[in-house]
Amino acid sequence: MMAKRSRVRRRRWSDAALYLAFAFITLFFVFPVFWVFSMSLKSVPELFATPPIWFSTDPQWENYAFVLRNTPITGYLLNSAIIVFFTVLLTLAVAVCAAYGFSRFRFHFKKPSLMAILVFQMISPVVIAIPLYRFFVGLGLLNNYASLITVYVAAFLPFTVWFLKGYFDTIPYELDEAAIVDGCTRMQLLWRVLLPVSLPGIVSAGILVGVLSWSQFVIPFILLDDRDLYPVSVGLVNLRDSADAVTLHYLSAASIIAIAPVIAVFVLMQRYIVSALTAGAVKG
Amino acid sequence: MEKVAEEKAASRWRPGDTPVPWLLPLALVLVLVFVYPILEILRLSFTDASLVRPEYAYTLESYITLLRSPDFLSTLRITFIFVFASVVFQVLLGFIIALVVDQGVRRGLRGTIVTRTAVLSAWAIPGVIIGIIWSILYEESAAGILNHLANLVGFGSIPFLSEPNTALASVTVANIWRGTAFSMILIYAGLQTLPEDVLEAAKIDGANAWQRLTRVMIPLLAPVLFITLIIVTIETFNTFDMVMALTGGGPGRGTEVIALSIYYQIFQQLNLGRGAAAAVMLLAVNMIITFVYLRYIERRQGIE
Amino acid sequence: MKSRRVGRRVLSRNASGISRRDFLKLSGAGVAGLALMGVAGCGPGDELQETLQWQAIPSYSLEGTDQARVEYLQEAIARWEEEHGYTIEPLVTVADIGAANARLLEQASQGRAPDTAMVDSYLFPRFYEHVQPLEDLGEGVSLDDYFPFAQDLMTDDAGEVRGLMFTTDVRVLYYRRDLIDTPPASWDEVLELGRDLANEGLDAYLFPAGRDEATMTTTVLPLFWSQGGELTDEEGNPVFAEGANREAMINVLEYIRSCVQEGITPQRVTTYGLETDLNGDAASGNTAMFHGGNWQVSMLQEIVGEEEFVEQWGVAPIPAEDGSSFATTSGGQMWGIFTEDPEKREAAISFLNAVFVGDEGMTGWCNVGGYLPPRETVFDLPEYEGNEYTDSFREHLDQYARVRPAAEVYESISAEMQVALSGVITGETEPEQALDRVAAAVGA
Repeated sequence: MMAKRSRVRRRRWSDAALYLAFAFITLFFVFPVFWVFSMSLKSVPELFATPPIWFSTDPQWENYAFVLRNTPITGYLLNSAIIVFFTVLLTLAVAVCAAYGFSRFRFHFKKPSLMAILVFQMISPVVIAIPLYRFFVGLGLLNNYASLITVYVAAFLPFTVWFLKGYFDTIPYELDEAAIVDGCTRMQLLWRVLLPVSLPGIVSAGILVGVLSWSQFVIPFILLDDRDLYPVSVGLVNLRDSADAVTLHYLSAASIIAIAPVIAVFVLMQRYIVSALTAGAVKG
Repeated sequence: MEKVAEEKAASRWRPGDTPVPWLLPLALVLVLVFVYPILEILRLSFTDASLVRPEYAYTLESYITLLRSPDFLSTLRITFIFVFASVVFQVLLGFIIALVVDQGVRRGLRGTIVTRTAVLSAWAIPGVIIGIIWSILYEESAAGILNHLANLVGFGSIPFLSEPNTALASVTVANIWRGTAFSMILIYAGLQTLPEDVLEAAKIDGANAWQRLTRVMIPLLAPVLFITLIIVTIETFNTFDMVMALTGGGPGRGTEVIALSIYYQIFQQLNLGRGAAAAVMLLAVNMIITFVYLRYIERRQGIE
Repeated sequence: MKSRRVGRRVLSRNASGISRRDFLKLSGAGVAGLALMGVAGCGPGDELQETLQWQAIPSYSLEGTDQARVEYLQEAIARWEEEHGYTIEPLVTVADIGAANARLLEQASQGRAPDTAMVDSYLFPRFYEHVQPLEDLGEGVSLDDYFPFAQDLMTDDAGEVRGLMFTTDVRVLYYRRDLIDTPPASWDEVLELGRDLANEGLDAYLFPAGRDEATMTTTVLPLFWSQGGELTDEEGNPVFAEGANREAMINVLEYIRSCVQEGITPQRVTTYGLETDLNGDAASGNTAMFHGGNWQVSMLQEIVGEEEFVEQWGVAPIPAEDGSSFATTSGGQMWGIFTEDPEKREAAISFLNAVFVGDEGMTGWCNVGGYLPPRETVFDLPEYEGNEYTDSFREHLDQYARVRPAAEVYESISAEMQVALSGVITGETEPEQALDRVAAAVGA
């Protein structure tokens, strides 16, 4: 009885400690975004008030309308969406094939080639983007989404191939065998047997690539110099650069607009994202 | 597991059945995008090329100037401090958050989801926006929120971005904010793979929570932690978007990490040769880390 | 909040080496833009009515963030279009002026520049060979209307007028009237007065000293020029680290260092790269003096209130070493006309005249944007509103204003000096050492 009570009490204490930890963690991660949100609703004098005002007494929602109307931010978001969509699609297409090849075939130089792929992962985008800039200038491929997305895909492929190979390896080969007995071709096998069961892994790879390409900066910053083509990660830099007007509230509003879609996706899909990511688990 | 599957696959080997068509697209994309630039950057690093002059000569000058320049050495020092602190805290904090969230889920505590989403959201924000957000927070005049809070608590004003050492710390904190989620995800995933029975056994043996953590969980998680460490390290070496938006490398060159310095060399000073030489240095650092990583994997596979 | 230029100043001081490649690059851009974004095609020739391409940076365009300016442009453009039967095709560049100008130079060297485009005045000499000479400056406008420094920028070496300057600006010392009776004229006076103000707990004296252009235009150059220093020689070679110039530059660095060391200037100035980064401090009530641009008046009035600002703040020349040979930096924006079609050229002059350059246009645009008119005659027009400080600004433009050297090396000098200055402020480098590094980096 005593033991039970003390266990219950200890449990309460540790629950309280966990809640405290939640509070700290959430505060640390939410506060910066909250503050920018608060800035985005202030009027000009409130922006510069000392001491700072926690929240506008008269929230200026007009700031958002203004940013949406007067800046190309919706265009930037659309550009980002296009780039992310095609990058995820193409990366997955190439990576699924390659991961299948690495997981279900035995061949010479398999290990060295897997290692070689990993080496590519370690190369900084800034290292490849600079020669590519000159190369693309020469070929007229600068400011071209097709070439830009190819570079994105290449940058994310090594990681994705490893991730998916690890996932395919966990799928029992008995499934393959049954299909082969049924007379499936390799393609049919992959499409009808492997893909359905590895969907969680593929989805989580897709999410990772999606997030990484959404926030990718170096590649578009160097390989695009037409501002109509900028994704939001680069476009925001442009909004901040205004020397002759007070723009802090607009910049804040633009930042919130830029991150809102991602946060919305994360909140809506959060269950799915976490289970997909954990199902994909990391393999060495 | 992998071995078994492979052997069975081999036993079913059919003529004309080769992995080549499956791997070809991958090889094509990687060669197309990576090989030429790497060779080119190596070549350029031995020239005095400028971004705007077509003619150039081969020389070792870029490396010599670079290695002799106090700026470059300080850039290296700053980069290493930035990377080291970022990695340690990202992995540590990621580990703690993963544990806390895992416990929260197991106990069905409310608020777990909110916490998890908050951490993940920070990860999905592009670096430039993170830089902008933190520069608003770090504002040093009386209108700045963090300094206001510091004053309330009695710390007095903190030169967040104007004193080189503090600025480096400020930039690192922002980077930790940004990157912790990634470590958390990987470690959280690793936690899900831990065998329940082993943990239970330790509990029955009377190990307390701390002992269970240090003697059972951490050794079991070691591979995941190591991989996380490597990936985060490389990522941090290669990043400059957030720093650029937050401090632009200043004050002076107080927060100019190597990737940012490469960018400035080439696109601001137009000095392609010197920028390429610095890029080769960065490449070398990454290669060394990769090498360590590969050795580790090899050893592990040897053990298994 | 600091705002920092991060764009790239690539390119093309050497036009000959890049024309073909860049032609290809641009067509790639067009194709990608049209195909992927579904932007409606709007190249010249698409429409029956004559169109005139007009390119500006975002804050001077219909996409600006200032409602009043956008409304002025919309109205003025619509009115002109109606009167002349032309359609204006607005083009907008990136916000980074350096990058925008580099790109325009690149386009111009391939003959692909827009019909008319905005160019930062200090870079304009690099465009002389690409823009059309102007015999007629438009209705009611003559070269003599302009301030002397503006005339210089607008006229090429052969004496032909190449561009139409339409705004200008000037840097001054803002000081608090309620705290300071006589604004300091010499550096010693600044230090002396600064100590007293600092003792009262004020931020006595602020200026931009971060990694952006204002550090050069608003802090270093006025102080450097006031001692007779020169950055480059006639041929555009860097000479700032030699002889008397070297001494002058070291004086500047030492002066700024003393201000910081004595607590007159807070160290956070190293995070301010633009004049407007000082707005927060100016509005806080705790700042006594700062180097700023004329355009901050309207911004600060928006923040602290029109009358309060005027009551509190006065303007004076940026202090000179000796207290009398004042100097300051002027910049501004110009229009270059690139089209070779004589009819379009005429239309462009008429358009620019109506919206930006003529008596009505210049007063309209300067009123709404808070800019100073580069045509001195406009100051006397009753329609030109100006503000409490207009007379002082005009006087400074007349007597102290200089422009940055047009030499290509200027941009590297500026970038390196920005680093050097903050290094000196934070105490990491000695002035001599900092200057030597700048010299080594730019090859002086």
